[in-house]
Amino acid sequence: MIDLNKLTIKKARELIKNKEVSCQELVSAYLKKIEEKNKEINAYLEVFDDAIKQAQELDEKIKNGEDVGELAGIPLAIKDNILIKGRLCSSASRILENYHATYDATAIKKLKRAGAIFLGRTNMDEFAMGASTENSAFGPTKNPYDLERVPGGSSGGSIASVASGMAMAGLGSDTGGSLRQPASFCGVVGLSPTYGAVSRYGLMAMASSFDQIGPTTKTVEDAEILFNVIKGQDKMDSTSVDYVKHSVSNISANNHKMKIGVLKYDRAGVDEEVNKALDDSVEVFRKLGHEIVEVDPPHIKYSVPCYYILVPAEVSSNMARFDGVRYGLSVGGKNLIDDYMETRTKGFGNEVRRRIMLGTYVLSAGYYDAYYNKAQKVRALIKKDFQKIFEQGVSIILSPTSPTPAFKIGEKSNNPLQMYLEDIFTAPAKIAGVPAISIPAGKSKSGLPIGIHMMASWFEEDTLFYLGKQYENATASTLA
Amino acid sequence: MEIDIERLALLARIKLADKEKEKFKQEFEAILSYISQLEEVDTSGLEGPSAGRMTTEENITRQDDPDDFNVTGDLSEILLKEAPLTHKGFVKVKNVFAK
Repeated sequence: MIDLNKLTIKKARELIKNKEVSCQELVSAYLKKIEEKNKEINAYLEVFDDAIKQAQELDEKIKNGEDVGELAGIPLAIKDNILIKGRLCSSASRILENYHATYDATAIKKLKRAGAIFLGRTNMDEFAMGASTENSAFGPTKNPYDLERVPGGSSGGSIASVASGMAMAGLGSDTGGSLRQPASFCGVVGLSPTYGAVSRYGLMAMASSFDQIGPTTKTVEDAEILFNVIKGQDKMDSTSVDYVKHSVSNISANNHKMKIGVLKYDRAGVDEEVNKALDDSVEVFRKLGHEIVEVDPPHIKYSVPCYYILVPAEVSSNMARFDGVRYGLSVGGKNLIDDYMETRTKGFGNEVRRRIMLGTYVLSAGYYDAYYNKAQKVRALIKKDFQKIFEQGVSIILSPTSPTPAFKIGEKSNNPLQMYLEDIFTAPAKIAGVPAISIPAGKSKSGLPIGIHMMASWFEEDTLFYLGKQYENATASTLA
Repeated sequence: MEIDIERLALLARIKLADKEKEKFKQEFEAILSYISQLEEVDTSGLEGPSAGRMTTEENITRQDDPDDFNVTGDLSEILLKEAPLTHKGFVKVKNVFAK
């Protein structure tokens, strides 16, 4: 008997194609799991009641021999900041609690065309601001491995749903680690694509020069499958680029040997079991015949401070659209400006208000040069560091994904700076705009998942997939 | 580092309760002191803020074509349905200038 809730996309596609499993059976298995588990995990904010109907329609088309697309019947969880036309889309915020998306995000349009089925919209830190999913206006999501712990964030709902068999795979967004850190906390794969690889059209903007939509999956190969469906230039997003034109595949043969740069970092500041998981993964790559070198980019340690200037700055601009006039919550005040203030005060949670104010501060007259302008220059230096390393023939930079396994709910929520430091390994890739992936690398003694993190050069997702799959194969028997 | 939290909140169009003012102020002081470590980075010779730009320097343009928007049904109706206050097909707001 096949456990449908543990299937990979790759396997499920075969089963559907060979008519061994119907789309309806597949979707039903996931809906059943959601019914059993969502109450305690709180991964879904809404389950779409027409998912089964869509599956039946697909089955009918398959029966008639119609072309149903490469993801036909694949049940996905969609983060609540990605627009699906006609559906509620709230970014887990009170301010958009009753907002209906008026169009499909480009990534959604592509998935629909490929025949994917959306099971529901998933919980997240409000407007993707956070690293624990505790900042949701609709209650935190729990880590499936330990319900007293966070799943990570901000894409915690999509990640937890994949980790607990409530979705085969999912879409999230990654601005500073929002797919990769929760993936490492929940033992799944999370990919943050190169900036410009996937259209942001229909993704609610948090920090526009950082945000990317990406997949969360059970395996690297599944991440590759989803990425290939959603990537590509889109005229509705002027920052998206022609992927094929920009990408260079460096993989010349099946056993291509690469140079792997292991990031030098302060090991004392990282959990011992995380350090060990990284050391073990280095050995795996060494045994696979890859050359191991140490890399120590001089400016990378400034990534988090740089990030927490530029991101709040962009947040403060992007959040200005929430004025209670055109959509979302509207709270009446004494006059127009009071309407804005009341609406935003009632509608936004603490972290969103914190980042808007911080961003307003670093952009304000007198501070702009010292903060925003300086951070932009540091961003250029960090990008140059990456460029140099990749020019020296290093294929990927390997590090832990997060300094610790999943922490307890409430442990960091009263200390924003502590929470920001969660991004220490994941922010650099976003400062530079390079692709990065978190892959499961075993569990701690107490049974909590640990992830390893790989960054490749711009538009070289292929390298991440190649090495990621090799790592999975080499560790399949030991890490399972 | 002196932060005028009331002015900052006003600029950000957010109201803070008295209790929150002190809390946010302390948090901002901690965060700003942390991010101020960027001061030690030598950035001479770099032109900001364009140095850190993530996109190409060429202009990217497209035709403003209604067919690109995949509209089904009456777009104004769909959009107006999301507006909190409407009147005869308009979005309704309070006076910008006091009468």
